[in-house]
Amino acid sequence: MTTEEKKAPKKKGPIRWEAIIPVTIICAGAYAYFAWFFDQHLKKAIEYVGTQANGAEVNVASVKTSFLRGSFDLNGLQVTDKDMPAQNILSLDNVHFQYMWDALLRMKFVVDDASINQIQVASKRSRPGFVLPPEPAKPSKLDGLQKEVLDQVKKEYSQNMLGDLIGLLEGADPKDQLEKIREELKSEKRVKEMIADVTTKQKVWEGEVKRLSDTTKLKAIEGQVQSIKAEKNVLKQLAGAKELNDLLKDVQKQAKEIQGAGKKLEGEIRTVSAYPNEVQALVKDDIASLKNRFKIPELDVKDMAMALFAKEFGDYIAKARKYQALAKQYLPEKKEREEVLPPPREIGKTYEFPITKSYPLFWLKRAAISSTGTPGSYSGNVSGELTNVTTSPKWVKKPIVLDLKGDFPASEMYGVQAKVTADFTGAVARQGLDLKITTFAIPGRMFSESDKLKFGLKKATGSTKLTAALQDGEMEMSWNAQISKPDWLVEAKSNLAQELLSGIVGGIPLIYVNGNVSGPWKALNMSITSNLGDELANGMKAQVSKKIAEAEGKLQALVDEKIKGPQAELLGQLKGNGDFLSQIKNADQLYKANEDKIKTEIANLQKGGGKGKGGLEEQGKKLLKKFKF
Amino acid sequence: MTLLLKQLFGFFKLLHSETGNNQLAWGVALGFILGMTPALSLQSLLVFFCLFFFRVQIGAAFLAAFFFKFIAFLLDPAFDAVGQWALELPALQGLFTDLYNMPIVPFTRFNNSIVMGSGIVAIILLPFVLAGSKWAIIKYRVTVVERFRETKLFKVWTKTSLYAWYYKYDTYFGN
Repeated sequence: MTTEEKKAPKKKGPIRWEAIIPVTIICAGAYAYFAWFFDQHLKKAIEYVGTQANGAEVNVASVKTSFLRGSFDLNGLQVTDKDMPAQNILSLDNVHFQYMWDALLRMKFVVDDASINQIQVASKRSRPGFVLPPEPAKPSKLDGLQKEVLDQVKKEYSQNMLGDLIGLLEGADPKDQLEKIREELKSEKRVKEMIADVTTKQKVWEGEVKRLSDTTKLKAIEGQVQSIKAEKNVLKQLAGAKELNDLLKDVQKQAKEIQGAGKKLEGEIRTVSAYPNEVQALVKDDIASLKNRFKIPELDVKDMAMALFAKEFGDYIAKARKYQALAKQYLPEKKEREEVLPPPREIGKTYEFPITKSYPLFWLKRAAISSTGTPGSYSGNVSGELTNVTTSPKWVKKPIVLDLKGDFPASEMYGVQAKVTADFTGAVARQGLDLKITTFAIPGRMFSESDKLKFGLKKATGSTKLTAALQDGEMEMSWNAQISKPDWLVEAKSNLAQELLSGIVGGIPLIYVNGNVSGPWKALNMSITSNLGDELANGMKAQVSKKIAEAEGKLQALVDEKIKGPQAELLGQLKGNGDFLSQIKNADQLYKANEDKIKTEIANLQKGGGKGKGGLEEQGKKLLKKFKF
Repeated sequence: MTLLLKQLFGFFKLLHSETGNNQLAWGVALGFILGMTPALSLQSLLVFFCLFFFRVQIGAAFLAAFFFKFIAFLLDPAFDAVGQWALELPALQGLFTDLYNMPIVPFTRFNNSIVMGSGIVAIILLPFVLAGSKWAIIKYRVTVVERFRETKLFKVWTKTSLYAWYYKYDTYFGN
C-alpha cells in the first residue's frame, strides 16, 4: 500500500458547513419543544406544585407562553377547597402577563400590564377535586401569632358578662353553690387546722402544767426544812444543813425547768394569738375569689361595650396580624444599605455604574383585576388593580397597592372599597389597610346565650370602616361600625330582665361601635365604645348596682356564718392558753418562795439558829469544854 | 464525550500530518481566550460559537483552554489590577455607563475587574499566541515528527499488519 493509493482529501473551506445540519436539527427540536410541549409541561408543573402547596387538586385549563411576544397566559385556574372538595376555594378565568422585552434582554422580568379576570370564591366544581392525605398536624406559626393577639383580647372581655348581670338581677342566691364549694374556702380550712393545732397544744400543756405545778414535792421539802429546824442535836443539825443544801439545788433545778417551760409557752401563745388576724385576711381573700367565681362584675360602661364587641374587633386584629406576617414573609423588609463584604481575590471587584435605564429583577407594574358575580358562588362584581409588586421597592420608589371596589350580591354586601398598601420604599416599612363597606347584612349575632338569657341580633344591616396601619412593629387600627334596622332577640327567664332589656333595646334604632387598638403586637392597648354598651349599662346600672351590693353582702354573711363558729372556738381555746400561763407563773412563784425559805434556813443554821443556843461553832466549843479538853 | 475524544485524537493526528497549521493555531488561540475568561459569560459563548461555526481544531482549543486555565488562575491578581485600572479610567466612565445600561452587554460581566483584566490581556496577547502557536506547530513538525519518522522503531511499526489495518481503516472511515 503506497501513499499514491490514498485519495487526496478534498480541501475544505473555513466554515464548518457539515455542522449546519446537526445545529439546524437541534434548533428545530428546541423550537418544536417550546412550540408544542413546553406549555403543556409548564401547565403540569403548575398543577403539581399548586396541588402540593394547597393540599387539594389544582387544575389549569391551559397555559400559553410566547417567547417572541414575551407573554404568559394562564387560563381556567381552579383551586379545590380541601375541606369541601366539591367546590373551589378560588378560581380564575384568565391571568395574562405581558413582559417587556427590553427588561428580558437584561434578565429582568417586568410586567407592564397584566390582567386577572373573573375571580370567583367558593364556585362549584364540575367534579370533586381529590384531596391529598393530611400531614401530621404541626403547630402553625401563623396560628400562634393570631392566638397571641386573641389571648390579649380575651383578657378584655367576658363572653357572658350580660348573662352574669341578668343572673344578679334575678337574685341568684349563691348559697347552694357555696355549700358545694365550702371545702374550698381557704379560711374555713385554715380555721380547722388552727383548732386542731391549738387542741393538740392544749393537751400537751395540760400535762406539762400539771406536772410542773405538782406541790407534793414542795410540801415534802417544807416538812424536811421544819424537822431540820426543830432539831436540837448539833451533829444532826450539821447533817440537816447539808441536806438543806441538796434540797436547795433540787428546788433551783425545778424552778429553772418551770421558767423554761413558761418561756416556751409564751412563744407558742404568741404564735397562736396571731391566728385570728390570719383568719380575717383569709376571709377577705375568700370573699374576693367568690365574687370572681360568681362573676359579680364591677359595672362600667366601657366594660360593657368591650364585652359586647371585643370578639369582633379581636377577629379583625388577628386577621391583620396574620396578613402582616404573611406580607413580611413574602416581602421581606430590606435594609436601607446592604452590607458590602469585600469579595475574595479570585472573584475580583465588581463595579456599579450609574443606572440610567434598568429594571428590578421582578416588577409587576399594574395588574387589572375584574370579576363578575355568578349565581351559586360568593364571587362579586369586583374591579380594581394591583400595582408595583416588585423585588426592589426602594428602587421603584412606589408602594405596592391593591385597590378593589365592588359588590357581593350573594353575601348581601354592597359598596366594598378596599385599599391595601405595603410601602417598603423607606427606611422603615409601612403597611396600611383602608376598608369600607357601605352596606352588609348581619345574619345574626348573639351577645349572650345562656339558660337565663338569650340576647342578641336576629338580623340587622351594617356598615363599617376599618383603618389599619403598621409601622416599625407598632400597629394602629380603628374600627367604626353602624348597625341599623336591628331585629332584637330578648329571651330572659326573669320578667324583670325581660322588661328591662326589651325597654332598653327598643329605644336604640342605630348602634354605633368605635374601636381603637394601638401598640406593639405583644402588648396591644384596646378600647371600644358603643352606644349599645352605654344604654345597656345605664339602664341596668341602678338595678345591677343594688344587686351587686346585695350579693356582696350575702357572700360576706355566708362566709362569716361558716367561719363564726370555728373562729369563736379558736378564740375560746386561745383564752384557755392564758390560764396555762398563769398556772405556770404560780408554780414558778411557789418554787421561788421555797427557794428563798431554804436559803434563809441555811443561813439561820449557820448563825446558830434553830432550837439550840448560839451557832453550831459555839455549841461545838461548849461540848468540848464539857469533856474538859 | 465521544465527540470530545474524537476531537482530541483529531488534534494529535492533525499535529502529525502536513496540513492544518492555521486550524491548529486558531484552535490554540481561541482556547487561550476560553482559558483566560474566569467563568461562563457572553464572550465565552461567542468563542464557542466561533469554534463550532468555523473550521477550527476544537481539540486544540479544549487542550489549550485546559492549560491556560491554570496559568490564568495564577495570574488572577494581575488581571484584577489591570481590570481595576481600566474600569477606573475617567475617560471611559461614560462608555462603561452606556454599556452597563444597554441590554445584553451586562451579560459579558465587563464590570468585573478580573473579567475586564483577563479580557484585555487575552485580546492583546491573541495575535502573539496565534503567531507563536503557528510557529511552534511548524517547528514541531519539522524537528520532532520528521526525526521520529526516521527512527527504526517507527519504520518497523509501519511495516506491521496492525498499522496496515489502521491505515486502511483511516483511509475509508477517518475524516
